[in-house]
Amino acid sequence: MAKIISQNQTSLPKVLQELWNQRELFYFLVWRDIALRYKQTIVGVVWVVLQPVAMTIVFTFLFGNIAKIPTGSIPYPLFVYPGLMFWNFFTRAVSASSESIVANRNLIEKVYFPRLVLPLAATIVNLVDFLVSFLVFTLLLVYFQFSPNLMGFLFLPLALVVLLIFTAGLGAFLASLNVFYRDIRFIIPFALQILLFLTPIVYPANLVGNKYTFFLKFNPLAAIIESAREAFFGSTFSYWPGFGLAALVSLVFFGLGIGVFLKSEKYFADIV
Amino acid sequence: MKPVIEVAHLSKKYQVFSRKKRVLLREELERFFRSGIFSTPQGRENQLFWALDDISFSVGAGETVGVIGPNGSGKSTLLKILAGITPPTSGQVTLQGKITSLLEAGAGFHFELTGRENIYFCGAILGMPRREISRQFAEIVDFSGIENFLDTPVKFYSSGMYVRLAFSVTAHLRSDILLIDEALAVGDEAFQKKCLLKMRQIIREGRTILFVSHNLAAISDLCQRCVLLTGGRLRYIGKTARCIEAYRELL
Repeated sequence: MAKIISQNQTSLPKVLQELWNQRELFYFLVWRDIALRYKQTIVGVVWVVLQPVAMTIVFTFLFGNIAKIPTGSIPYPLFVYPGLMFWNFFTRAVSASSESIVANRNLIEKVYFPRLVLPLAATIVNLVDFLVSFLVFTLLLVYFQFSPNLMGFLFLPLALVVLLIFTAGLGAFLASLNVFYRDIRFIIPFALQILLFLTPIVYPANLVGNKYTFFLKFNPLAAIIESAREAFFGSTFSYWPGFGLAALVSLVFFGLGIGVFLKSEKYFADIV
Repeated sequence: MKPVIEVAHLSKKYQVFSRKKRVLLREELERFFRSGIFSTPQGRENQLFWALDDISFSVGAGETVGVIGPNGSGKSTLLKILAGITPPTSGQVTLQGKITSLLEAGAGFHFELTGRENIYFCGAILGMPRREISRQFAEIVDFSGIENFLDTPVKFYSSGMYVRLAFSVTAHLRSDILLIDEALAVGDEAFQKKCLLKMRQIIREGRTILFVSHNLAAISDLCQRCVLLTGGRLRYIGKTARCIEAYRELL
């Protein structure tokens, strides 16, 4: 089959075909990331557990004991942990995928492969950490002798899929923007820090005044975390409309992010 | 017979960005949302540079064609476009079959990974399925001569070991078209000889090769035909001996 190279943009079906043909590369990138991450560390994989646990302890002390944020009958560590699970996935994935093109500049300049695998693999690899932190969550439940709703466990994969779509879109968008403007690299840590407090993670959403809840509706993270928490701990589950909107917003982000990435990827090798 | 590589009126324009003109992200974002693409900034026409200017030639199946020319003549840009790394500004290339490029030995390697891990990873980057790598694994290792260091991270390799392994992985890829840029300028003399032998074997297998090198001895040894580029233009295409002669006259 003839392959034609010209200045024209690659079409979406062609890109999907390429991604499918090189799906093994995807697997290798994820594997490489995992293999590399804990090389030359002393405690190795323990870091995966240590980070959410340490964050939970600090937040419990700060917001549970000192600020005394009301969480009803739920112990504060249990209240904050599911949100942190999602949050850690989000921040790691966004940071890693936004750097993925620049960090692999030697590959971009020398070899052709579908560029989209880089941010996507950098996002997907964090599912491993998510799984580990979920196991820690079940241990926490045992420790506090707290039995959550079964609904929580059923809802979790769905929430994760929506988060994955949102994160992949945002990550691809930031990855391509970062190639052109390295400002992105300075904005991201700062923006994430602010977003942590704009998202109901350390506090419940109902603590936010009516005036501002409108803004939470368009933050997919807020809806994902709040609905997952309600699924685990709430007496009723009334979150479908909010969650549906989050799914919709996530899909829009995904479409836009991937679209911008595919439109700009042909310039990567020349500019990165 | 249909040519395997057909290059038609290929041009590539680069912009020479000057460091002085700093652009604010805000301005660029505005422009980005207005135009919808990362368009080339206006009013900088004088800073353009044509790396390739209206190049046309074709390569038949099983041919080995050399590309020669002084530094900055556009040889590497040509290979980059053929490899699909960067798009041409105008013109087009039609390729029949699967293409692999060896633009830089070990580009896909990661320093922290071991030799074994890098063989698999590099193969995956270059589009070689895992079972294919497994099948060729012994041969790749044997050719590179690094058996004893297979499970050592490549950051501890000597530069010679590194490039030997890199060349070996790419040379064992199964593809119809192979692009090689200066790959023979690596390793000691014994390894260079081995590379030349391997290249001859690849040529015998009927694969099509486009070979960029400053090593004129290797070029005249391997290629029937040559392309001479100067300043982004095609100066001469034809028999290797003639082409090298034309190149020498330029120097």
